[in-house]
Amino acid sequence: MFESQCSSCHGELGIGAAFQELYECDICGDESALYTAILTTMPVPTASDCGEECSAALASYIYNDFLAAPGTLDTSDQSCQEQGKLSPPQLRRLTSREYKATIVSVFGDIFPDTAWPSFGDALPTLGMSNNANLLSINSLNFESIYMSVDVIVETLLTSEHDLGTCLDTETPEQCIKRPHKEYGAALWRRPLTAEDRKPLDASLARLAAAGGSPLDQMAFDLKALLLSPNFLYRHEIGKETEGISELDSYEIASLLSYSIIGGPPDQKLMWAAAKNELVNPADIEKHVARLIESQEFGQQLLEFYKDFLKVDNILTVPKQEHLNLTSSMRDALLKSIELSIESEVGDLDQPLMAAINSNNFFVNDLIAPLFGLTSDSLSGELALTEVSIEERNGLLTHPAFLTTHSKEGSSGIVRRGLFTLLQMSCQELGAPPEVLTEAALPVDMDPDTTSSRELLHLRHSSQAECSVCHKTIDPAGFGYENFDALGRYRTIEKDVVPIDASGSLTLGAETLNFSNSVEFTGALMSSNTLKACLTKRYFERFSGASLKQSSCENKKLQASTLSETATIRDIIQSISQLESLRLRGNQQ
Amino acid sequence: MRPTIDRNHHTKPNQRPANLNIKRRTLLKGLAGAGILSAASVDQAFAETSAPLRVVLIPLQHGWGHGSDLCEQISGSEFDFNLPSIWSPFEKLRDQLLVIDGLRGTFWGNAHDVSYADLFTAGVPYKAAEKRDTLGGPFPGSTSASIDYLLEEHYGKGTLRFSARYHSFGASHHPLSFNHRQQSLPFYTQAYDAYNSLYASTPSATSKTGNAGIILAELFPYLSNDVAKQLQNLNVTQQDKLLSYLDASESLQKKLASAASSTAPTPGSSAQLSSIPDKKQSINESLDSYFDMIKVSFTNDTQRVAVLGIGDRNNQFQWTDSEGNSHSGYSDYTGDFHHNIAHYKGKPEDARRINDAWTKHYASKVADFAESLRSTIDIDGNTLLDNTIIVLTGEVGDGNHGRWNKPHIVIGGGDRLKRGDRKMGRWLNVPKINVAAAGTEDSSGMFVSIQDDADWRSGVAAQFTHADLWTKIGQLSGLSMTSFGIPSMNTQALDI
Repeated sequence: MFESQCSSCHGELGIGAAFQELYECDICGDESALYTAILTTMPVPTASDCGEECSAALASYIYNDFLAAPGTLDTSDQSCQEQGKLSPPQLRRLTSREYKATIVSVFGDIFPDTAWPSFGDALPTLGMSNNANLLSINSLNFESIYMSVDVIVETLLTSEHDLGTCLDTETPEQCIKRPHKEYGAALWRRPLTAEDRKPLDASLARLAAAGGSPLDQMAFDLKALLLSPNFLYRHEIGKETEGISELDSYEIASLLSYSIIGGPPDQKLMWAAAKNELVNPADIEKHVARLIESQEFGQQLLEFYKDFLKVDNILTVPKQEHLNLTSSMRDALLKSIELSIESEVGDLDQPLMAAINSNNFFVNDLIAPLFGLTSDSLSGELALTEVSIEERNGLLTHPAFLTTHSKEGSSGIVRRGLFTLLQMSCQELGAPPEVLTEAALPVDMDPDTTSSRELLHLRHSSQAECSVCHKTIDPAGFGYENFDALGRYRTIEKDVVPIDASGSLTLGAETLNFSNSVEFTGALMSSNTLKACLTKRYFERFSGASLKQSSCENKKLQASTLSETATIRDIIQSISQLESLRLRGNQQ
Repeated sequence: MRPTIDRNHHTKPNQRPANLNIKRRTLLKGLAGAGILSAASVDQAFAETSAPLRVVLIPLQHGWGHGSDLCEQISGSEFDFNLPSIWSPFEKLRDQLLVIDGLRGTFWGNAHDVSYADLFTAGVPYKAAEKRDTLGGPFPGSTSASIDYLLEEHYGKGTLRFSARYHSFGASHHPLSFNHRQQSLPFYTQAYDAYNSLYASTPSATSKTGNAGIILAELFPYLSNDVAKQLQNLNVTQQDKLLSYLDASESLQKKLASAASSTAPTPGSSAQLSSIPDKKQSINESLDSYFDMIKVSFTNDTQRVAVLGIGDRNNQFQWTDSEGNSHSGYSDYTGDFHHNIAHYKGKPEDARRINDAWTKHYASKVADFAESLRSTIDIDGNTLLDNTIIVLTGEVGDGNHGRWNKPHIVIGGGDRLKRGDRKMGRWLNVPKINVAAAGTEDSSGMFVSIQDDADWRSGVAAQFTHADLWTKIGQLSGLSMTSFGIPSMNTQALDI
């Protein structure tokens, strides 16, 4: 009831989203006073939506929960297991990157481009794209996987790979079962059991009886391994005892490996799993420390930041033709922001926010005009280039980010504001009104000489049904108004209208005041709200699950990582020490 | 022993389809001799009994008409009525039309978001929780399967699901189609990809490495057994993932078997694609390709059901402004079709003009498609249009979120939609009711009165619902069903 009636304005945790923080409630008094306040005034704008029963239930919940237990962080000694709030077990289909990384890791980088399937996954505009519930196998992408496996098997069996030459150099008996005997454990990220081998062996025997050649049998063995759910899904299921599932060492090895380096467990992890070491937090810490020093971790971090900012969408986001945003410019913008991120991800002893703060801008002649630079002194190569600190501050002022989140032909105050609140600040907003109406402008007002900000206010945000949410959404968009639809810095729009990028944005307990876009992005990047959300999003990508702000594990993580000095290394280690790395609940 | 698999653990008993019972029939062999049907079509027709009914569902983003405004534009009598100007492209098909001037959809929550999942299921209960995680956006989930899926099961053939930019919120397609496990079913979002999957890149039953035939004979049973073993250790949510895998695996198996016994169509003859889509098609070209694929698949009887969602991001249509100037597309007028054009009420006159022209553009495309079916002879000697029902619908009735009176147009169907001695060319002037005291089921199945809910506005609405229509379509296709979706959405009084 709190979620449906209250959280859109007061935040899921009662710390304020578009409206007041419940901990600062000045009309609450006692439970009775709170009941009266809710009954007569809540929710805005239709108080009748919550009658006597609803108001009483909410008053009790708010008074006895939020007000009696202030704070958003779970610092209690009670574990999530004790609270009955562990994350559920899950199967995680390999992402396209993980699929390729696994094949290449096991067999080598010997495959043609046609070997990689199209999973056709939808890219959500909010949350993280590797959400396990969004990654499915369906009738469309399974065909593509099947054809991918065909190419992989053909490549293996006709190349100089060990499997390709086996029948030339060894006996058929030595070759037929080699795929699953030698590569099965690496592909399935765990040793094959007798129960796994039995049906494989039986199929191979039937195949031989039906006249299948040794080559047929090898091809079958490989296809069975690669098309099996054991390969295509990562298992985080565990073994259940009294409602709690404990992941085994191999499952933990995969979780750590794919989440940290984007590929299957290496030999050291597999050995540790074989010795059942990975159920010990100290051993986990040791392996995490090793994995995050690898080059692949940097690549994973890059993918995380891009997913957080959704900048891959720059390649396809529609823009009006007159803006002349060519494919080459889109490619260059994406590469440019990737280089900005890469320039910061090498140092693990800095905050996770450091890459977002990056002021290393890489520019070439194609995109120079978007940075306010002339292309004369630049080549086609992206190069670290100085840009005005009066105009830009961090990745939130990078044209790739700004263009991705603007509208087709304009800056998009609401669009940028919504992305900032929902994706980057993890705020909750209510649904828009059923019917959006638009107020008429005053008859003497000329839209061509009126700012977009003023037009938005007059037509839309000033209306009662809109103002509740728009008084938060709009400031989050005003802060980017120094940048047009392509992220070009500007102080005027429509040739003559001055830009006003000032505002005051309330994010939970924080209020950000700013007079221009550089101040806005600076304040945003320094806010605890953004830091906490960035950490939560990282945890979501690590765990492949969408997490509520109020989820036990998220609160535990935030409690251990919100300090000013928390580094990337600290955050990864904190995640790896959470109960959810090893334990899953079966509440459902 | 092979483990058993319960695939439909969510299915309610009354949602299960009846078995298909089609008799074997004599074919018109002369069609092949005359070059009208391909050899493959004839081969397939021999295996068939009578010409089956095909169904095409075409939802248009923001709906096909002006809701109650449009309904008021229709006047006359049942068989002698005027078509609103935006539907004028259908004049040439007048004898094939059934115009239903309003059907009621569900009415709570944000219009579009709720309606996507409800449109073909009538199964989204009151205030159902969003399934953002699995549906890719703020969409509530359905509790039952969609009509296209029931027909797919019934016919035992795959369904063509195409999305011509019918999407939002980062989802590549709107969640329109659902199986019994309430999983959203995938759509092709590029004609090029659909072509490659359906025709060009059909997985082969042959291979350079080994004898693919005998490998496949072992492979699929092995995979099914593998899944069955794993299912035992999973909760329902995770089971659904593997059951989806299993569905996909079996679908591929059928396709491979089919590919081994028939010839894939290639451009050049009556039952083959007229052109091959390329990667850089415009939206109109892409739409033409989708229609082409539907026609070929229906002709060759490889599929009998298609869903084609059409979205609003298309600048390739012409319109004339209130001062008589011609324009191409809407991007010079606004970049926000939804709020500035589809929500035309209270906007400048040009917003409505663009909306009209845009709708008329798609009406023209559909009319051309229907004509192409009418010019194709089916295996029973009737036209393919006689054996196809095309239903035009939308998640809302018009751009202003109207769901009380969603206009629907039914095209084709031949004698199946005969009424007395008249066939089609009919206007169904749906009676209106006051739904001030309306109610519906919540997620637990309990009937709740929602007359005080601000989201459920009282008003005058169509007596019949889209659930009524889907029930009729199911019955016409041979499904044994008397209702569809949640009970309150069924009036059981629609007579088409």
